[in-house]
Amino acid sequence: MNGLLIKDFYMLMKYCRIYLFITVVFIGISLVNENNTFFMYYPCLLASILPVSLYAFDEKEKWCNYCGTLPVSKSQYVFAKYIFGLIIVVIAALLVTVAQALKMEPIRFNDCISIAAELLLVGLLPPSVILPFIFIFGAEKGRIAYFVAIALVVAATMGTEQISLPEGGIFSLPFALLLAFVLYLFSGLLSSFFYQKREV
Amino acid sequence: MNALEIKNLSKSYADFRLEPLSLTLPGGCIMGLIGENGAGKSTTIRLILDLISRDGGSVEIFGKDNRKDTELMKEDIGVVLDEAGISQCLTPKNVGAVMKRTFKNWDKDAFEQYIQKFSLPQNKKFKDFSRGMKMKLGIAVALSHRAKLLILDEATSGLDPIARDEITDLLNDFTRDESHSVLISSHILSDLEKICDYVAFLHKGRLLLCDEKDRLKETYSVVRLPAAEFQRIPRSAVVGKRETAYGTEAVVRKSDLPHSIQSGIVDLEQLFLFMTKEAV
Repeated sequence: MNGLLIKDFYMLMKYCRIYLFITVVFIGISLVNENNTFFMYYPCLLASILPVSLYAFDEKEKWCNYCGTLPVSKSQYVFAKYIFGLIIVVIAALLVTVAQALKMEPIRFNDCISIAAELLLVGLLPPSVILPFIFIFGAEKGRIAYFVAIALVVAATMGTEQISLPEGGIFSLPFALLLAFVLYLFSGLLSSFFYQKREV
Repeated sequence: MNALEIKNLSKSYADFRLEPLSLTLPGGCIMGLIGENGAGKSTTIRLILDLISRDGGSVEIFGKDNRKDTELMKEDIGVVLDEAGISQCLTPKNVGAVMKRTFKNWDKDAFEQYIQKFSLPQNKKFKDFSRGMKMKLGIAVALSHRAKLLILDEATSGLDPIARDEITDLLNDFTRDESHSVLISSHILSDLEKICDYVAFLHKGRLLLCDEKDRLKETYSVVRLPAAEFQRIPRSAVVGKRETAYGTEAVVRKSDLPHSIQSGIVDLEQLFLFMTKEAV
């Protein structure tokens, strides 16, 4: 699996430089922009979908096919994408957290932990949902299936009465983060299960 | 030990069916899988590598089911696919670094020697390589992890004669070790003629024959006769024929041929063409 991680790293450095540039720019903007949290969350959101882009390149370049000839199982291939995704989300979250900490005077450790947890939450949820679609249907059809599924969920909830959440949220941040990790792991298992049945 | 043993292997798609196929590749030999485009060569190779699920039959590689300990088994198999499949942005140097962490038996020195031998630039991206260079890099990877079985799917198609000659020389060198075997699919029969010990003819998903190349050459021959003289050949001797304004050309079984009729040496291309013509 290490070989796959190295390959994804090379691909990230060669194909996704623009994402890295945007991440650095947005972190810079978040340092000077006090009111808009968009610039704080966006680098993690961007990092979170990089495994989808890397998979799309693999598919286009027939790596998925070639990978099947190497001593690497389909399950290892899927989890390599999830692990790589986790690594880049953690790096993005750390960079943003450090940038936010630099703005604090003095640095408040608890606030930093909260920010890092929120960023991880933002970074882990999107790939948990989209990656199974990608591994089941392929990069192109998977994206369409993902958007259709999201549209169906939105359409289904439009008719229902608005649910009022208890003040302060229903989950504490550590619990939400734990849930996000569990969801990410479950998503990986689901993707692995379906990818093993798929003929690439 | 046989490198590869396939029994009644079958696979169906909506528009194609691989009929139950059986063949055996003994250790130390090169087998050519011959067939027109869409004959089922790539499907067979994908089934051998367990890249797709089979409908029936069995595949054994070095005596073991190909679906058991697949990852361990693939340590011993070097594969070159038609579209090499290596990521376009990787350089040979990057590919070496990736494979070093993929194969347990990766031989870095051997890989570097092949890169030098093939004159592949270490820092040029795969996407900037010519088709010949791409195939050579694929072959360098396949030969650099001490594989015992090489599987090449159309690895020589689209290459110039010099590059093809280099590759056939390499395959001959590879099988000097008796524990090494090669399965190579191609529709360039002249290449296979030079290197193969065994040939398997696939046509429209059906295995027409699988035999030693030398035995085929002993069994079959080619005749070119005026139409009237051709009538002297018993029908049972004729494998396939083609009638032209100048007479009849046919591939025949030597054993059934009257002694008075002179015949010439058949090549794989003639044998395949006449057999498939007859099998339509």
